[in-house]
Amino acid sequence: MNPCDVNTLAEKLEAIVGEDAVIRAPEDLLTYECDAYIVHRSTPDLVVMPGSTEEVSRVMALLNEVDVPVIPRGTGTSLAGGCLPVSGGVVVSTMRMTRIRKIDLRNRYAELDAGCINARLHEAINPHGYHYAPDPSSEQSCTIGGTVGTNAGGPHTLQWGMTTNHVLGVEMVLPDGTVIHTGGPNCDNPGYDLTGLLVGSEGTLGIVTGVTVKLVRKADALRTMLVVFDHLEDATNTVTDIIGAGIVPAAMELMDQVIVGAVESGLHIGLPTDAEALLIIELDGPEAGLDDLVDQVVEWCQKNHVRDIKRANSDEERTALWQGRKRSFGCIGKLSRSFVCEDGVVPRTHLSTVIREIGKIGEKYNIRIANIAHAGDGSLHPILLYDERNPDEVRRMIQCSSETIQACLDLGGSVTGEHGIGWEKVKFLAKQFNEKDLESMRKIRDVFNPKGLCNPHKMMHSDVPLVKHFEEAVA
Amino acid sequence: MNPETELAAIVGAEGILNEACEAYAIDGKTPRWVVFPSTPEQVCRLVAVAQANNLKIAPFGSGSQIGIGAIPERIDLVISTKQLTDVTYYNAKDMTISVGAGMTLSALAEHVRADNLWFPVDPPQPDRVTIGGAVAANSNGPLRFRKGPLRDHVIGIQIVSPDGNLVKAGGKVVKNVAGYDMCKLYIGSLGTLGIVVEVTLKLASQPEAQAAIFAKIEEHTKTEEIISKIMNSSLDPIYLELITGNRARLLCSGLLNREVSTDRILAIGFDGGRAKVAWQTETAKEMIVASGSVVLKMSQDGEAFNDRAALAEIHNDTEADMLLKASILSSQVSEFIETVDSLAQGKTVEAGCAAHAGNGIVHVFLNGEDSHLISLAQDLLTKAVDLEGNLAVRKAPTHLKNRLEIWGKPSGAWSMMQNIRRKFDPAEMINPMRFISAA
Repeated sequence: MNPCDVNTLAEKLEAIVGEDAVIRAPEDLLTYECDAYIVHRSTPDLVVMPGSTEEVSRVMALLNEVDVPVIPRGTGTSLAGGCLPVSGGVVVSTMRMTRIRKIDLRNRYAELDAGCINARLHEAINPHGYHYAPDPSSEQSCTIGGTVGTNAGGPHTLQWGMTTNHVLGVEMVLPDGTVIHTGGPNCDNPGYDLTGLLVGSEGTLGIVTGVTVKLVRKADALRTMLVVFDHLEDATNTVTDIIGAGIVPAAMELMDQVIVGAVESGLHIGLPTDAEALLIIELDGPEAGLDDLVDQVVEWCQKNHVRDIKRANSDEERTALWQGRKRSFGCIGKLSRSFVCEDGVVPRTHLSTVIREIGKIGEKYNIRIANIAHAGDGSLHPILLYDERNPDEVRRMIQCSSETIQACLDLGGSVTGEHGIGWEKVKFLAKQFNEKDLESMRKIRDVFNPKGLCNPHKMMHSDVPLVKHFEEAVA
Repeated sequence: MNPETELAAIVGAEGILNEACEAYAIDGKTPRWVVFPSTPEQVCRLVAVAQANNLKIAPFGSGSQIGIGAIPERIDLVISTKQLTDVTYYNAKDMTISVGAGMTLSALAEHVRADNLWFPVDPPQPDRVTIGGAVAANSNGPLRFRKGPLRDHVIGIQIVSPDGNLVKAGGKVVKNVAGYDMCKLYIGSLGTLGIVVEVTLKLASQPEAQAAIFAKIEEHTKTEEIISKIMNSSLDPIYLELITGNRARLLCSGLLNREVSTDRILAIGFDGGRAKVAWQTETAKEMIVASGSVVLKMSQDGEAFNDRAALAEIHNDTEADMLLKASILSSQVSEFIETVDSLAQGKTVEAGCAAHAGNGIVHVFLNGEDSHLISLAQDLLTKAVDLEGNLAVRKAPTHLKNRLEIWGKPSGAWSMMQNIRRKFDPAEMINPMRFISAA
């Protein structure tokens, strides 16, 4: 947009949301040039922060009328460039919409503003013995609306499922400003499952302004253990054996030798750096029978040549065991200046194979890769380490990343298990699905977002012009 | 060319019925032809012929739920999925399987049993219900309380679109956020967005132990209190059901082989590790007794499995004139059932309810005279809407359907749904007028 149009638009937006809710200054707009995917950047023309659904509706109607691209954004924790303003335009942020609207523990649901931080919901309901199950690693800072946008996962999805299994209803503002409500706290409302369609739609069908989530009872007791394996395959075989035996742990997280090395450098918590794989296994339930389950799990570990098992005997010890996993991203700085966190998924029994394959791809491109996996679901996060100041390294990292994503596809998996397609993986969607499959998805986008201006070029490309430096990226 | 010639050329002479098609009639609309394709590609070609000849299609699994929906404009061609029963993918260690839409739930269970696996979704009539039909109708059972409804177990769907293309949604992995979640859209779409030909499912490992408890609630006014107590406790039931009226008597005579004077039964199930199940069963029993209710039966393992199957079967609507489905909150279930009972009495209608009490879903089974059924359905819709829920008609005599709000109070997003329908099936070729209709 030309500066004159931007100023006029800013004034009109300020008339809706107030002057202090519109960001115009270039130095302030820089904050919004990317999200947690830092490889590509683009500054938006404006940022607007409505304070209510009604304001969002008026903002969206205005932007639709003047044909300006809209980029929905929570707190910008997307790891796939979901909030990247690749066509310029206006970022519409839900950061001021943070209310918990209602909690109904008897009926196990809560109604939230889209900008509510996941951690705030936990604080409100945990003391009453209830829990919101999806726990992406960014839960201290991500918004519920953002997790709805990507259908976020996390370590505890093994037992409970993804965000989509816990969203009962959505309030969304369509690109033309219409407000729709799908689902609700009651199940099986007659009609199509639009709620299920909107979860994971990555801001391309409208902007989520409110969410009704399902709550679950917190388990009475937990048993957490850190399990050390000399060989990667022994760790993944253990995972397969445990699940095959009918045991569904709350979580089974795998960390490979590289990420453990980073964690040890950063935190010095005594993790063994010469083992190929560490598993954190957590079981939950009522006290009765929990220790029996632990014994069974230990037996499976021993059957698969475990080196060592460390059990947490208190809350403090449990926190300490999880520390290495939860703070692993923060420790990557010990190994590398920058990183990209990939997100693939394969059938569970192929997890070792794909990790080994990714290791070879890393060697080929001389890019070091650390792996964290939600081993129970076959979902993994290869973390590619590089220096963003070195153009050759950036180029090798991007090629390496493409091949790791392809490796997951080749093993019958998906190009994304949790983070979404965003901007980063648009070309991969066309490898996972054929033209007819994509056509059915385009039909959906056409129904909700006929002009294509709501989060353009996320998930699939469109005819909306890109800002100049992204044109080469697409070519 | 006569469409029949083209259809027969696709499925062979033995794969087409062109007379005595009454068994496949839907609300009195008998099709001219019924075809039995044996591959998804044949379904594509059949749909193409239908499109070229402006034929109206109805997909048909077992027909157990074929009565759902408003009366179709007409049905020219029924496409049966009976022959689509191939297992195209199965990995027991990954616990995922892809099966043709025509496979029954019982056949699926049999196929995976030897690998210690099962599919934890339990609508009634599993030996009849096909997986494609269950997906199209979003058919669930008591296990939905803990195991989740179908949408939590379906990881991939192959569908023949109204323009005759084979389209894939989802994949073969349990975690997958690539593209729009089209599987969710197709589940419960009643064929209006395409014909389901194959489904990929997430399976579960058989639990070490299972148990069931059935209790008679003596004081009806205490129902909500008991349910609330169980839901707020450390118990982790796999189902929590409230069965009332003639449904309760039916359940009792099936489970206990004797007549028990009861019209309110609470059923709770558990599964998992043996010690966990034993503790939960004991604890639940204590809670039930403390509330003043009477334990009628407790069972374990094989017997508990059979009892759960009997419980699931109580949701079978075969003997009812009308089946209504209320979608309300769990805390409102008891109040809603009171309303059913008092209204039914006033109108001399025989009524029974089978509720997924933990989920707030109440199936209301009615037998009686036409005008009473209509008036009761209207009153119960009003009640459900007053409770900020909804009520759909899942089964009704054809001659009454036009006097009923089949889909209850339309959701605010109904027009978006019509837009989707219009986009996918602009000529409304499949199941015209029966569900979301843009006509």
